Amino acid sequence: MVGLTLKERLKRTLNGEKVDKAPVLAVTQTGTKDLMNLTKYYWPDANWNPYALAQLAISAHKEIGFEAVRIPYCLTVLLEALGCEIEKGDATRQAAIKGHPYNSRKPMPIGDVSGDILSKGRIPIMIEAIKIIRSTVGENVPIIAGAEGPVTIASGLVEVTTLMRWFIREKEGLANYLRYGTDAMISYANALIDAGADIFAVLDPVASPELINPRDFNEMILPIYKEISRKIKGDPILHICGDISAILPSLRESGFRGLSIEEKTDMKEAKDILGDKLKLIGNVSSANTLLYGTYNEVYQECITALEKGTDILAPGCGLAPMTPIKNCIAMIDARNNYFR
Amino acid sequence: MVSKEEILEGLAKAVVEGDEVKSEELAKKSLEMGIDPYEALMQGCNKGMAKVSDLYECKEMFVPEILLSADAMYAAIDILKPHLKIDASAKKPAKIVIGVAQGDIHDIGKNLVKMMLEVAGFILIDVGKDVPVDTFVKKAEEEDADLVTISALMTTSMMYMEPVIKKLKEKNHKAKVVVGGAPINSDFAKKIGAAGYGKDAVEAVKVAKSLTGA
Repeated sequence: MVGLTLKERLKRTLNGEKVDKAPVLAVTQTGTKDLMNLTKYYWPDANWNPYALAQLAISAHKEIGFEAVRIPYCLTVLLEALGCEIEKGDATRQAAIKGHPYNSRKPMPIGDVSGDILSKGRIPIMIEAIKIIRSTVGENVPIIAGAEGPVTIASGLVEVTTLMRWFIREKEGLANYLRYGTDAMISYANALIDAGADIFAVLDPVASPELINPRDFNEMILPIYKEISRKIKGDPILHICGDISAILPSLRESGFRGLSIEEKTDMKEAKDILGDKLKLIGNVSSANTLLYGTYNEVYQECITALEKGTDILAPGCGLAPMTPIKNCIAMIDARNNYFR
Repeated sequence: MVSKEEILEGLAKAVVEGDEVKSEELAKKSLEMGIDPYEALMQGCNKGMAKVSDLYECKEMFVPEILLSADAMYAAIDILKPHLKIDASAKKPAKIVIGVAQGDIHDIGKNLVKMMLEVAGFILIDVGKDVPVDTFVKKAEEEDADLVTISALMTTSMMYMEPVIKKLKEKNHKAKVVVGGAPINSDFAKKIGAAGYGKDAVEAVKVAKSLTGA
């Protein structure tokens, strides 16, 4: 067991093989003001320049000690490639979706994803960034790439309240949009894996039971998740925000290797329901503890998460840009001491 | 011949089921039958939305269903509103300024809370999304608001809640501040000195009522 590389440890963990300790990393965004100040690479430029993007991402591994390099810093890359207007944000504000190209009361026809999606928007920048990261950190450090999942893609294309109404009134039209987003996401994910990413994280906050009826989730989303987890190369993982206990039994059957949860979902309950089917990732509060808490509060919450059975210690959601670097380091210290 | 009770019950049911065609039709029918529009509003629309709140609380309804119920309710209100008589002697409802914190453009939560508060009888002043601190304060002053409610989905925007509370206190303004949104919890609300926290739209109404004595 001694002498596992970071990549081996992560892969073994996701595959349910024995490891010496739980990896500590982030599957959600890692760009913070402290890291920007250290690297001198700032948002929004670091979202558009592959070299800056790579250097800022690597700094979360080098300066904090996260055991993976994770990109990008927003949930807009795929949506931009699919035609959404983007608000670039600034050093403390993530890029966000501004315009919804398909928002209308009734679903408009939407075609197939054309083959050249991989040349659109910032997708070439992501591919380039992954190559830069790989050549900088070598083979032994895992690279995690994330992107918006199918429900979140649909909510970007048509606007979230429109999407919600379609779940009841326009199931057929909605299914076309979910299909469209799913195809786009799978081809994007595999392009990033081919470029050198090890793990693809599907981030689908809009699929949360805080927004979607679990019945609709089972009917319309779960089958898509099964397809995605089958078609994405490597060991795909899933992140859904909020309290997702209502859909945990369904997620058992989703086919993903890992599930990233926020502190609003209880780690122990998730572990009891998922068993060893999906490895759990999380769930240190990015807002209440990492951003606003102290080093000791973060440390304690990490120990609790590990005691409750998390397989990979991670922030519950994206790091807030103003998160103090010492609070992130508390995660590494807690993991190290727990497994000492 | 349909009875008044049947119309009102039908209206409440149309709201619960999110059937805007039906609710509009029944609202028109209630006017034709000479039913007091205020009664149609209270015993039809509001009763329906109260049921919706209950079903949401016990997780039988979710956001999509609530949105359709709201559509149905507003369809009926649009018909009834022009016929409502203003009662000058009635107690003035409390005024609430509502908006999404600076830097945040996610307003679905804010819109749900706004709708539920409106249904509960409050007067809402919606300042929209990505709202600067000073706009909240200025609006509260201009409107002589009783409450200011701020929502945030992004952790980056949570930090713009406390300055609103501080500035209102500095100015000795009576408005109390209620916060909510995905990354917020009651500990955080206490930490920044907010008067209240609502974990969802239903709870927000309860908090608003208790803070305004409504």
